[in-house]
This record gives sequence, C-alpha cells and structure tokens, in this order.
Amino acid sequence: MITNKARLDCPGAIDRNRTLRFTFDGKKYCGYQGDTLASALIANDVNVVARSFKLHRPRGVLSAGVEECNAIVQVGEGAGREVSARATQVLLYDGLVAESQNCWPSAQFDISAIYSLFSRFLPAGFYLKTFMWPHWHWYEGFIRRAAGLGRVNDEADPDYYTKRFCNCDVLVVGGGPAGITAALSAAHVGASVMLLDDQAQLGGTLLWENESIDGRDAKEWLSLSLTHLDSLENVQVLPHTVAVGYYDHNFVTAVQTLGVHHCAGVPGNGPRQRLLKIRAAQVVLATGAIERPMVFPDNDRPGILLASAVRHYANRYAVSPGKSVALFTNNDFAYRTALDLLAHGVAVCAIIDIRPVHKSVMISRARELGIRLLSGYGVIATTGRKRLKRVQVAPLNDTGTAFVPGAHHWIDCDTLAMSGGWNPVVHLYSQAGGKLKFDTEFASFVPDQCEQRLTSVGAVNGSYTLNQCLTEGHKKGSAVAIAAGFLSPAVSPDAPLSQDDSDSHLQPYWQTPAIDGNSSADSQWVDFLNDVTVADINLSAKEGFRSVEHLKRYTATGMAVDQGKTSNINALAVMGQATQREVGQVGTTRFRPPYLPVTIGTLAGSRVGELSNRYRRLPVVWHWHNNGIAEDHSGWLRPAYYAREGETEEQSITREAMAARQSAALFDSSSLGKIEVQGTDAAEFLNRVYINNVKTLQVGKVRYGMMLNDNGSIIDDGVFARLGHDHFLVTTSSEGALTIAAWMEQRLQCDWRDLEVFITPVTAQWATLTLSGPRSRSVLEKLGLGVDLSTDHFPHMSVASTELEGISLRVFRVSFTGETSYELNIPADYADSLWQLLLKKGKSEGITPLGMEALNILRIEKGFLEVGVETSVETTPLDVGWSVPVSLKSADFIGRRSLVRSHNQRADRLQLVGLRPQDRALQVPEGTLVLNEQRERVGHVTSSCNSFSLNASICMAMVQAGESLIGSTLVLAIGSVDHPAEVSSSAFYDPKGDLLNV
Amino acid sequence: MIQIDCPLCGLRDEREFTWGGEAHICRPENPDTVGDEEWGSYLFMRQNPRGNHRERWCHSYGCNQWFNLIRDTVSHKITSIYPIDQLAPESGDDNE
Ligand SMILES: [Zn+2]
Repeated sequence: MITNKARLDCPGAIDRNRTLRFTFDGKKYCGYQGDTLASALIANDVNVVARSFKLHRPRGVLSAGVEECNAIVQVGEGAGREVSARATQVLLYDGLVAESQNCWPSAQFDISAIYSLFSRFLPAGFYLKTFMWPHWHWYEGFIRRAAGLGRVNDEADPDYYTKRFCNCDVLVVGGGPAGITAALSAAHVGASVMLLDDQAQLGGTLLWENESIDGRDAKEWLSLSLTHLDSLENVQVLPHTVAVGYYDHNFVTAVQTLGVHHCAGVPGNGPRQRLLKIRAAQVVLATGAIERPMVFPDNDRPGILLASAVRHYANRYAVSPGKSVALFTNNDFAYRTALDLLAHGVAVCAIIDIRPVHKSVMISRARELGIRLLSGYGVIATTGRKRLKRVQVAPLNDTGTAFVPGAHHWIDCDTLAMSGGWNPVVHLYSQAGGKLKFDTEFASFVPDQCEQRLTSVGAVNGSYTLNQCLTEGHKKGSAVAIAAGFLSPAVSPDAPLSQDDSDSHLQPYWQTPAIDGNSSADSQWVDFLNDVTVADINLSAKEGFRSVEHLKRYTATGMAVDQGKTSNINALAVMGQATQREVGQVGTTRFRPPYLPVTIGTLAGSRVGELSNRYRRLPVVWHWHNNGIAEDHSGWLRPAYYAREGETEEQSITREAMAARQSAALFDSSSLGKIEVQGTDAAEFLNRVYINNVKTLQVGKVRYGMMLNDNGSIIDDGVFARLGHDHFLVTTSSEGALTIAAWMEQRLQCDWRDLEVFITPVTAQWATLTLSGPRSRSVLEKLGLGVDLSTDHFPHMSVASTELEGISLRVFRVSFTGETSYELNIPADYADSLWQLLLKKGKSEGITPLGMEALNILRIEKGFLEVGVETSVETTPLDVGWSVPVSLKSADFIGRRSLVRSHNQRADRLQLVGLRPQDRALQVPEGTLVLNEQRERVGHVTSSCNSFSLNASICMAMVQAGESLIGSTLVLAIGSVDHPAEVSSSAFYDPKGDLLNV
Repeated sequence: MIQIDCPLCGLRDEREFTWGGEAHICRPENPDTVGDEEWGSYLFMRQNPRGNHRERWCHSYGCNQWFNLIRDTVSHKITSIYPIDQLAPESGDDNE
C-alpha cells in the first residue's frame, strides 16, 4: 500500500492498479502509471524540488507543462543520466532515479542557500561588472562551483538517434482542441496532414479541463476525434513530437521521442529520438498559451503555483498541491481552479482578485459556492521557508497603483494558485519571421503577420475559450488545405461546439506597488530560473538599458533552460513601467530555435563514431594490412608511416625518407586532385587560370602551375600535363580536388561561355602511385611498359600514356621529393595490384613504402611549398618566389591585375624563406614566432623538420621582407627561450635541382 | 533552409545548391588599363541590399548548372529565376 498523502479521491487519468517506485534525491517514493515526476512528487508531499540558479532559494513545482522553470532535475544514472529535465515533462516509470540540480547536498538542505542572504550584493549585471579580466581567476573557482545547472554527463551517450525528412500539405503544430479540429478539417478537404504534439497524449487542455463539446464530455469528443484521425490515410498523428525550429520556406524541425518510458541504452529499444525535417506547404500553429505568474513579494516560495497547473494536477493526476488553497488572480479564467478544487473537496480559503468588484458569470458562481472573495486586493507578503504558510493581503486603491494603508491582514494557506493571464506560445511564429502585436484586451503578444505560409489558431492567437478554439481550427484547417491547392469539398461537417464562452475580463497587474511607502521590488521575482527581480530590471533601466535584447543579456532574464516561457512578458512590462513605455512599445526579443532544449545526439543523428566524419579512402588497401598508421589528411585516411617492430615512430619515418634519397620509395598519392580539361579552347582556358604560360606547352610535356583568385591570392597549385593538343590533365592539391573543378566549371558557365571546354573531375577514377629515388627508374623499367624512360627520351616534366597488361597507364615524370620520380596513374581498381607489383619488382632495389610524414620531410628539404600551409588567403606568387613566370607572361590571367596593386607590392610583405637554427638538433614547432633583433615579431614558421640528409634542423617560414634578410640572423621564440637561426633560401637540399635531371 | 526551383530539375532544398554571390558583376575587359579604385570596386564592392538581390546559384548536387535568381534578403521570397547569361527581368529591379 503506498502513501500518497496529497492524492485526491477523484479518479484522474492515473492507473491506481499500477504502482511505480522511484527515487528522488536518494529517498524512495511511489507513484502511479500516468503520473509525471512532478505529479508524483506532489502526491508525496515533496515541496522543495530544486534550488534557484543564482541565490539557491528553495523552489517547488510551478507549472504542469513545458514551461516549468523551477523543477529542473537530472534523471537516470550513469551514461544515461540526463541533465536539466523538467520534472513536469518526465513521465514516471518504475525504477526512475532523479535528483535535483543546482544544490548540494540536496534541495532540502543546500549549503549555498547562504547566498540568498547576500542577494542585495548580487544585483543584475553583477557577473558582468565583477568577474572581468584580469581578476576573473580570483572568482572563477567560486563561480564554477556555485553556478551551473547540473553536472554534464561526460560518458558516451548509450542511445542512438535518427533523422527523417518529411513532406506534407498541412502541418499542424499542437494537438489541443484547435489543432485537432484544424487537422480534421484539413484532412477532410483531402490534404496530407501531419499533426504534432509535444506531449505523449494528444488533447492539450482537454486532458485536464472540465468541459463539454457537442453536448458530451470533452474527453469523449477527444477520443472519438483521435480515433477518426487514426483511421484517415492522409493523416499522420505524431505524439511526443515537439516542433523546435521554424525556418525559411516552411521548413520545420521537430524532435520525436520514441518509446514513452524510455530507459536509456536498453538494447532493443530502438532509437531514443528522431529529428524530423518537415517541409510543409502550409503550417497551422496551434501551440496554445502559457499562464503568467503574478509578480508580488516572495512569490517564489514552494507552494505557489500557476492556477492552471493546480487544476491540471487535481483533474488529471488526482493530486492537490495543498490542503488549503488561496487564489490570486487578475482575470476570470483562473476562477475555474477554485471551482474545480471545491468539487474535489479541497478547501479554497480565499480568492484574492486585484480587480474591483464587477459582475461576471465566474464571480457569481464563486459567490454562490460561498468562497471568500477579496476583490480589489493584492498579495503583499508571504511566509514559509520550505512551504508556503501564510499570505498577507491588502486592499488596492481605486486605480490599483497603491495599497490602502493599514488595512492589510494575513490569510493562512499552504498553497497559492496564481494567474496573471496568458502568454500565447508565439515562439515558432516569431522564428518564422512573423511580427507580433500587443493585444491590449489580454495584455499579451499575439501573431500579427508573417511572410511565410503560416496561420495560427486557438490560444496562440489570443482565442482563449474552447469555443473559439474549435471554430477557428475548423475554419482555418480547411482554408489552408484549399490554399495548398485542394478543392473546397461540396459538403463540410459543422464545427464542433462548446458551451464555454466565458470572458476573461483581464486587468493587467505587472508588479506589486510599494506598501506603506516601502518598495518590495527586490523580493518580487520575475524570472524564477535566473533569479531576476523587479529591482534588477529597474536597475538595468536606471543604468540606461532600454532595448529588450540588452535587458535580456544584462539581467539574464529569459535565458537558459526555459527561455523565459513564464517570465518574458512580465519582464517586458516591468521594463516598460521603468522606462515610461507601454508593453507593446517595449517589444519582444526575437525568439530563436530551439523552442525546447534539444539533446545534441538528436542533432547529430547517425553521424556519430565512424560516421561523424566520413573519410575518403585510398584505393590501395595494402597499407592497412602492413602496419600503415592511418591519419586524416584533408579528409583522406592516409598512411602517416609504416611501423616496424623495434623501431620508434621517428626511426620509421627516417628510414622511409632515407630510402627515397638513397634507393627507391613508393608513395600512394591517390588523393591528389585530378581534372581532365578537354576541348578546342582547353589551352586558352587554362592559360587564363594559371599564372604560367600554358599555350607554349608541348604535347607530352608537364608544367608546374599556380592558380590565383582575382584578388591575386594563391588558391591552388599542381602540375598540368598536355596529353593531346586539346586535352590536358590538371592536378590539384588534395584539398583542392573538388573545389577547383567546381571553380573551373563556374568560370566556364558564368564568365567565359564562349569557350569550348569540358571539365571532368577524375580524382576517384585514377589512382596515383609515386615511385621516387635514384633507383626508381630501374624499378619502373622492370614493368616493361614499352616506354623509353631514359632522361634523354623522357626527361623531367614529361608524360606518356601506355598500357600495362591491357590496363591504361599514364606515366608522369614529376617530383615532389627532389629525386627522380615517376607518378603512375592507373584506373583506381587496379591500384592495389600495381602497388604490390611495384613492391615485388623493386625488392632488389630496396624499394620502401613511404608515408606522409617522410614525404613532408623530403618536400621541406626541397623547400616546396604546400598551399594552405605556407600560404594564407593573402599570399601571392610574388611572396613565394614565383615572380618570374608572372613577369614572362603577356596574356591576362585571373589575379594578374591584383598583383600590381600597391598592397601586393609592399616591401614588408611576408615572404617565403628558409631558416636554419644554429642548434642543429632543435625541434621547431610549426607556428613558432620569428622575431628580429629587437624581439619584434616579423613572421612565423610554416613547416619544419629535422633533416637527416642535411643533419640539420630546417624550417620554412613566412617573414616580412624575408628575401632581403637572407644571410642575416633572426630569432625563433620557443617557449621562453630564444634560438638564433640563419635566414636562407628555402631550397635546402640540392638547390639547383641537379638530381631531378639524372 | 530555403527551396529553389532549379530550371532543369524542379523544386529542391537549398542543401543541394551552392551560392555564388551577387550576379552581374562585370570583370573589367582590360584589367591592365583600369586604376586600383575601379579594380578594387570590381573585387570587393557589393550591393548587399535589404530586399531584392540578384544572385548566382549552382545546383551542385543535381544538374551542376549555374543560373541567376532574385531573392528577397528579408523574406527569402524568390521572385524570378533566369539563365546565367541573361539580364535581370524588369520586375526584379532592386532597391537602388
Ligand atoms: Zn538542377
């Protein structure tokens, strides 16, 4: 038998035959199937469920919905622990473990609560004013411990997530009465409809308000309507699916939670959540409204809840947050709470209504039931540390701007249900770019106009009665379907009807006036989550903040988990009063996605682990069976080096580099970008994109070239080979493989439409294997390609097309190492065979597989630049020693004009040079700063290595006016030590290139 | 994410396209003869209007064809799509 002290006798929507055990802050409790964590905590009389963020004030449950800003908890244990969950949204399951956040050791007894004694020393902007550089480190430890919402779960998420693209004619967001009728009537017209609701059960307010539709209980109408929707083939109903983002052209993202009582990481449970990316021809927002708290002194005590939440708990979960409830309101809607509670046998000790006596249906009913009615009264104080004990009330003057002195008295109560009116959930409307207008009747912002194909129905529109919701939903549902291209049906069913047409008679009440001349602004909470009071907002107004965007950032109001769902309008209104403006003039902040916090895993979807960054793979797989150590190089997985037993990494790399200098090395350069350029204007085209002369290149020859953008900066480099008169093969860097082909295509389609040229990227089709070293020719000759490879017939910078056992093969004599080298292009499927064949044939010549690391040493020894490593977005060919080809070329090319701009001609530009540290064993990190004698920064190291061939430490560096400094000494600043280094040409090894022509 | 009606393929999501910046930027015919200022304005100066913007797009993950369109930079409404080598239709005159 379980003891749920606060449970009522009424049935509610819980299943009392199914008891669920759960643990909160280490204590064991029980609830029922159908409870949320919040309703179960209330049932067990747990008053304090959390502490506030800044001042650690004890807080209880405030609401029953997504807007909850007090009961923020952590749910689950271990890897599956989820932080910042709202207890009102956590469906209870057996074995649930939850704990409060932002307190230690527990919400009941929190050591940091001492802060609340110092609250006046922690005003708005305190953090901004105090914790600034250079003194931040004094406070950092203190702040990090004290602040923060929950502990981040640093274990890998045991769950998995998926994504889905969806299309529909009509997307209805919100499954309350307005949304359901809209979906029904849009479906009747024939449109495909998706109906989303953030809760596990559709129905919205129908689940907990006592109302009737078409003469029967509204819950019955709800169940019939849902059954009807289920039976329609053109309707998808998605419960537990919250629309979080509204983007351009009616693109809506939603998070669908799959499995109601989901236990994290339980195998076979399927994905935890699915991100839906929905494109809808028309969208209907039926997102409802959230009740507004009243702003009065100490309005944040446990036991003070939203009035709608109190009747929600009573009607749906059969729990009452208290035994003796008072109501504090400025409108008629809230009277329902008193009436419903009385019906459940809960004592209602008073209705405190700020409005002067007036006549209305609700007031008459309250009077008939004998409820004590205090019209024209406000709450001026509350007591009770961990649970509300009493409220103090006082009569307001005629204008509601001050209290009548000396007339206050106390009322004993353990719960205060408050209502300051409604805030329409306009978040998605605002995200969609919609403009809001201030509705003075209900004192709230409602949708005004939007460029997108979007309409709003029900409470979000400021239509608060059930009858308005049903009528609007019915009317607009078919209207948007017709707007989406469907024909108006001959016969339409009538709109459902409800008796509820009550009026609100709302009178705005944004804060509590001074009492006997004493302001209580510093104890009137506006934002419970961020501990923002009326005084904080007044202070920011005094300090000159007027824009709501500034107010938000300065006071933090409306930030973090709840995004100001309950606090926004009150904060705006207080700001308005402090700056003598109407709320409508103050305006709102622009709402941004997501509407509710989204787990990062949901956004990642299946792109985690190996799929998080999909590498491009080399066609040769031999590497991975022969100790090739894989590393990511510009998106490709490439062997960094080939490990050998008994060798250190450095020894392996040196061995490979030595082979290239002394015998023969084999390197997989398949990631090299390759583009075929063909057509009668191919030479003309390339002549316009390279700084080098292309037209003079003979068939069978290869030239090194650089490409610039029109700003004169180097965008890529590589060689281009003339395979035929109108046929070129262009190679690019690995990074440039895709972008350069697209860039060329753009030039041809957009700028030079008269040129007859075809661009075909062939990087993936042709593998590139590079043989390099003094013995490389001997190895290649063993293949019997039928090509005379002697230097006389096939000198450096030549190309030949041939065949190997019937397979096309292109041989390029080009070199990135400074040694005699041959790049072999072969269709990618044959790359692995050719690789193994070369290793076999080259065995007697000492052939050695060469990884990226050794190759990098070889190219630094030669001073060959790598675009993007030596060069930045500003580097021109003049900066890296390529002024000669530029000066020799008479024709225009992209970037040419910019090279003569004064900025590009400055003497102090960064220029590529070599640096030789005097300490020959010095290891120089890339990026090391280069200083002059006066220790002024003059440049930086771009590449560096310890060269075994030269027995020296060498660097490539970009140095101001570097070329003029050759021969002088600069300083490398590594850590706190300065190392002298001599400036030289960057061609360290075989500077004249004699070895290339052997 | 906007949708673009590719003249060859039809209505597709923005993720299939590449944006190519303002359309109708003319590279001076003889770069050698223009001054730094004119060359600089060709390189860097753009209209960046609040409202209708004529711009280039490429359906990169589709037909790989470039075309021009007019997009309202506030509402993202696309009012006209026209071939890359044509001038903007009259209706899409921007707010100069
Ligand atoms: Zn296309």
